[in-house]
Amino acid sequence: MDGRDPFAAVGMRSKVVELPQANNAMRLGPLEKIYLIWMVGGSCDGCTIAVTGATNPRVEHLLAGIVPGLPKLELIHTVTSVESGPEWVHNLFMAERGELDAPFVVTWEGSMFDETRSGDGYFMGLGEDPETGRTITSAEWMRRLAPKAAAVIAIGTCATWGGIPAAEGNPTGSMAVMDYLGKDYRSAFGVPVVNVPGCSPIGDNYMETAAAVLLFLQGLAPLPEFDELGRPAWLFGETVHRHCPKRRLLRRRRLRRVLRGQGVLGRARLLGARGPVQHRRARHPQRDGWLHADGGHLHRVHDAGLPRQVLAYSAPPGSFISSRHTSRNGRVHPQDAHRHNGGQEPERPLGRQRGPIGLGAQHAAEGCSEAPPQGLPRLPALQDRALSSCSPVA
Amino acid sequence: MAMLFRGYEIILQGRDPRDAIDISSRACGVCGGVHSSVSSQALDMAFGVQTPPMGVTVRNLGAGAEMLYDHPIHLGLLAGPDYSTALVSVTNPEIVRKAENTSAPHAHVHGYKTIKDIMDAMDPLTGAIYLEAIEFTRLGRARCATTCSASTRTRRRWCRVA
Ligand code: SF4
Repeated sequence: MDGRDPFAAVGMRSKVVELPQANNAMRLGPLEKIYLIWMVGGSCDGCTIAVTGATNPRVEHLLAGIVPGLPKLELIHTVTSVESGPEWVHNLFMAERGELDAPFVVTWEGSMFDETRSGDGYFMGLGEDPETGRTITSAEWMRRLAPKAAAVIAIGTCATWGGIPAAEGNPTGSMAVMDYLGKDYRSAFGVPVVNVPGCSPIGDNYMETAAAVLLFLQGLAPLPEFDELGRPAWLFGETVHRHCPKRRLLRRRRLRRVLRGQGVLGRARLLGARGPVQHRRARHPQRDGWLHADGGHLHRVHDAGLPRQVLAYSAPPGSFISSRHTSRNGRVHPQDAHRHNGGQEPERPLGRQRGPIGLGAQHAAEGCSEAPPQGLPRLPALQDRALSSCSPVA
Repeated sequence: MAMLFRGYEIILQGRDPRDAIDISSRACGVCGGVHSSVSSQALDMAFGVQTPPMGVTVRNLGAGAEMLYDHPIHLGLLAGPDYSTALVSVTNPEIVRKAENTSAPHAHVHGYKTIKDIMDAMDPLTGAIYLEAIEFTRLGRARCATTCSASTRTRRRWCRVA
């Protein structure tokens, strides 16, 4: 490090990446720059990848500070930061002690672990305490950083509702950021936890939300409007169904009957099409997050209440009724809304999700001579396929 | 530095086997498509079904699309900056001096005369390769979003046809 202070990590970054475009003439508010501390809990980094796909504004423009009105972002990220090891963690210590020269926003990706369950170990460690050498868990970082943060933005289904790590069986006690910090949490600037759900989320949804929050911190815009689940209201007010290019087919009765006759509608429900009950914008696949994105039609994992219902292949609760309402007006009927929001338990266990593994295989291997054994959950698509194809295979 | 346990194996126990396609792909955000296509292959084996030829084609398309998006992400965004001038000049300046005097092979193909030029192009946020890689991941992802979902679900689509 040729005589430089090895722990001047943040300073080193500004020296390393000299950005010729950075231009203070475009600054409209009090903040020249802002630190974005991107932390992870039980995540897969898919949300990070999704955000690199955003185009409005682009992530590289925000980092270069060339978006008019927005402060320059200094990114402190677990994966893409240029520092590593103790240098990187030093940034977090500086943030906690309030030594950074600008406010910081925490973006949390992945679920919050309940570290009390991890015994002597930990589910997710992020750096060490320089004095004691003790590993600091990522959940502990959240506890230490959240009160000082200008805003806490939870990105992805994992961070907003618990997501797949919190699915049934949840060995790590995963929970959402909102659950971890409590509903009454307010950041240093008075912003509640901002939720941008989706697995993976749409990159532009995050970018627009972050830009709105930054504009608020700059004093150029009012606090954006959030719905009762902390999502930006202008992005998640409508269901996917509303913009589905095939929705008008449902309006035409004859076609509906034809579709049903072909099993298309039933199949769509069987595959867990959540369009009618999912609140999000259906958009161009390019901006539609990453591989998990299904091109906008069959998104299953964007809404609240997911953790106990990551049951990709069963119809979401309430979809039968609300698909009728949404086919007409594109919004969930208020009477149905309780069925699939707020993370409430469904009144009765959902069917067909707890199939014993291997029974279908066993059945197929036995020559498919008789009807499926009683008690085998019905998996029509697979069984049809297994039955119809067992002769060529066997 | 960071170590992580999410217990996906435990979560997958006792579930509808088809959920594996979607749950296992959340193991990694960069290579998730591979996890789901391999899960669907495992399901094929478990259920004793054969993928029809067109299904194999669609899966291959999906895998190709994922490679198109995955490699720029890895080479340009995740690993590339580690070899860039900006970082290497801080950690190992002698290597940068050596790179200045080393001519790059196949310069007529890619246009970078010395190794240092390539390292410059990998600088985070300013390098040409870095910026182009970000742009390419967007294109690759658009391709993925349309093909991968089809490829992991070929069996179901083909239920109707076969
Ligand atoms: S929400 Fe989805 S994409 Fe984001 S970290 Fe969780 S599993 Fe990965």
